[in-house]
Amino acid sequence: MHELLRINDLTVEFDLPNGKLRAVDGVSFRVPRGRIVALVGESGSGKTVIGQSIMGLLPRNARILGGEILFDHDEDEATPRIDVAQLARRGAPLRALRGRYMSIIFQEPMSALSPVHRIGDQVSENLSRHLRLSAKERRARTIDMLRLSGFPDPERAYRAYPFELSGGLRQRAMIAMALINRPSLLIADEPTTALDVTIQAQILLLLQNLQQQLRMAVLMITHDLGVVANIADEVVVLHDGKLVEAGCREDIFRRPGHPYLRDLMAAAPRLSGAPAHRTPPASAPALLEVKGLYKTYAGHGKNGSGEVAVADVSFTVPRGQCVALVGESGSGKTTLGRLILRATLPDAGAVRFDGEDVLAMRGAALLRYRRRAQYIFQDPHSSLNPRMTILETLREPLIIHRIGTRVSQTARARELMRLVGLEPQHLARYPNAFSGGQRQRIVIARALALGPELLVCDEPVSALDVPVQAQIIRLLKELQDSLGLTYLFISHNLAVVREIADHILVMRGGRIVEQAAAEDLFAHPAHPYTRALLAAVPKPDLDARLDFQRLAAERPAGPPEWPQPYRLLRGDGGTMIELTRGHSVRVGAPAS
Amino acid sequence: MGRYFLHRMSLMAPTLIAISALIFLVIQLPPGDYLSNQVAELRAQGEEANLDKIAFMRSEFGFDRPLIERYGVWIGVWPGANGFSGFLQGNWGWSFEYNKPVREVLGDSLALTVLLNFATVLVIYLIAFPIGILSAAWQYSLADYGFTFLGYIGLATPNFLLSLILLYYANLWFGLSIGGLMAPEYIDAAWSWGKARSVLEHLVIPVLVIGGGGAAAMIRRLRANLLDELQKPYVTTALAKGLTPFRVLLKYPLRMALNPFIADIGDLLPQMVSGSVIVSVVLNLPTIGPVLLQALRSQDHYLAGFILLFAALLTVIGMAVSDLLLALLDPRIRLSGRPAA
Repeated sequence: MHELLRINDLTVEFDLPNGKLRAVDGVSFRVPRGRIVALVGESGSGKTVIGQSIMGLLPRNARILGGEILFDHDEDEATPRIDVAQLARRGAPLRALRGRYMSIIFQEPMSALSPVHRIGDQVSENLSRHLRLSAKERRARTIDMLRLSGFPDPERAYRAYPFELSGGLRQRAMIAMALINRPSLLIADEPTTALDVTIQAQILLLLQNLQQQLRMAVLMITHDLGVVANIADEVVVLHDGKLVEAGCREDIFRRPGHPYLRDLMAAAPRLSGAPAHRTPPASAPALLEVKGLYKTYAGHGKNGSGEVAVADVSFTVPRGQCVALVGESGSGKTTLGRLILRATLPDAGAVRFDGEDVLAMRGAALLRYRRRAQYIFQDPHSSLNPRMTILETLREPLIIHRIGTRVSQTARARELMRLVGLEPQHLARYPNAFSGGQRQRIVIARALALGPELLVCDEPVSALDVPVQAQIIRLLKELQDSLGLTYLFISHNLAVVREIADHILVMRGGRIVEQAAAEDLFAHPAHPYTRALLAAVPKPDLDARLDFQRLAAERPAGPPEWPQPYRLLRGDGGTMIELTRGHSVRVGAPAS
Repeated sequence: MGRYFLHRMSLMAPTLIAISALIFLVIQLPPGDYLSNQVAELRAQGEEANLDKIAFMRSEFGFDRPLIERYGVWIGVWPGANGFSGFLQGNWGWSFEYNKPVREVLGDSLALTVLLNFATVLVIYLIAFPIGILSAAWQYSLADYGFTFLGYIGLATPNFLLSLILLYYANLWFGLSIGGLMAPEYIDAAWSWGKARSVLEHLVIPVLVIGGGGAAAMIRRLRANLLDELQKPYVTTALAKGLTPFRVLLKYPLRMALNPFIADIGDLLPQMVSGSVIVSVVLNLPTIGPVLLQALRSQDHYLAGFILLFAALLTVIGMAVSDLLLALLDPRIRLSGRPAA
């Protein structure tokens, strides 16, 4: 196999205010021509830095200390390989390679595209930089590439601005931009991490198709073993800047050698196999009851009409159980969480907590409710005040609710730290001294400070690395057992939900389309949307790979295309019917 | 965009009406008025004879009428002693102190003020943009440090001191007359090529002095804005296409860094009237800042009211211009609500 890229003993160092950080330490691997190589690791493993080094796009404070990045940009075997590591980052030789022979796409297509330039302008710029073409031909080629990248209406996309496209289409625009010059190497840095699972499957399929059509190599930088199992030919595993294991996909998944890799495999949440699940307490009384909840945001929809965020949502959460709300972005799951905590008021419907009407609460009653129901946010980096010590952060709820004295509050803070598995002597530190997982523990400790009964957890592990996700889920389960907590667990990730939920609600477009006990839902999903969600999750298992051909054949359908009896025509909200005890699904009005 | 334009324009009328009412109310708020002060003064001097004339003026200007009616006359929507004769009819009012129409009192100084400040703003932009861009593109380079140093000196030097020094040398080397916006012989003379030339020569120093400080401040801001934008992922994307860093800077971050400056236009226009007062006094520039101050002190309220209204009008126009420019330049503002592709 001919090598397109050969990295030998690469070492990259960052100059940080508190010293030097070796982000990549003597890493060597290869990318064969026309193959997909996955670069796998947690955050901080150096995988992104390697991608930046190849492109010459390292931040100012980073330096390649040693090693080679040999790139064989053309098919001609006679021309010598170029050592990219030796080229000046701003120099012309490297710029001639960039965008022409090697391209990169990023995780967040919204911020990676300029918000004020049209898609056509940004995509064709790559073409005009490297080739002399007439304006007409440039436009024709750009529109061809947009069509190839799966835009249903490329002419229109050409004129569109990024904010007018959905997340999936934005990533398609990035791909079109990166591939328009048919480079021999595409570096894809977590290209699907910010996308919904159904969209992720489409983008992976697109990347695979284009990779074969254009006969290019892909260096897929990812943390998701599910993605790796589905599209990579070879795998390189990194940990703390060092290469842990490299090999072909079969070897890595079937015979993982290094203990770190085996831990990583074990930590990956799965949809199959026995869930590490506790038996839910039988028939507990309802702690939270939601009935017929509606919320429309005025003026956010198309043509200035209101956008329906939540519609006709009813469910109950029994005390001591975990009910999960699952849905993709825009499904209304976060709005629902906010409505329940009265951060927003609904247009119609009822929320009852322990028999009391939450929406009617005023003054002291509302304050009492705030103590009994707490919220955990997704991003532990932005949900902690960087200028408050952990002690101040943990005392704050107690101060607001006037509970105890300074001494008793500090004692409570120490107790909370132990409860979430942190050292009480670290209370004087600021959030930046903690890792993402530790911060999320602090956020959980803060939520527990007032001794709540209900925790609404909004994507509590989505911003964390997979092994850390598993730790946080374990912590939440332990806390649930020891403190008798009740959870409303909001997530887009079915595999994570499976680890913790007793009961699952699947939301789509503001409505619950299916609800069932967890085992029931995974064993017998009834609704086409639930099935599509389950089918689209890439599994870290070579024997359960995504059926890309089937996914391509059945594009994710909207409510009007769902098969009968689930079909919801325009204006039809549908009704929930019970299939078996505790398992209900939304069906449309019978065809007349 | 067309609908937004109409909507934005239609907002200006009620804003102006509200501002004019407020101005009229405020300048009438202090007890007494110019004419009653005048009466008291004449009485004190024992000159009762002129009282008739003042009584005539009182009725002529409707001082005996209710406030709302006088406001209507001032604006021109209520018939006064001479029928409809207010702003809407082009009558700027009467200055009691100068005993002349406001239009004659202000005369050229209004135009000169706008000219001076417009030239200043132009110079600020012409100096600040290239330097700000260079400083950001080659951050921590010799040029960056040099301009930063110069900029701090510019910010730290008192404007009046700098203007005095420049005035002295301009007089010494070029024989420019001290102070004013034109050579003494052209004051009150009709406009001619010579007078225009003299005005342009005299503009150089105030424009450099006022503009220098403004440019220094703007360079700092533009540099900081650009450096912020240079950290954004879309810059990396553009670099990954193989564009030169400088071209990337001009196409992407500069475009984004412009927004705050366009938003500033709304503040710039009124500053053209009221800004740079100290330098105007030191250089003896015939701008309207000092006139406003004197009018307010002597309760010459139609004169004061006109100047305030003029500044308000400029503000409202400036805000509208900056909003429309922002909408034109930023598709996120222009196209919000357009259905997705």
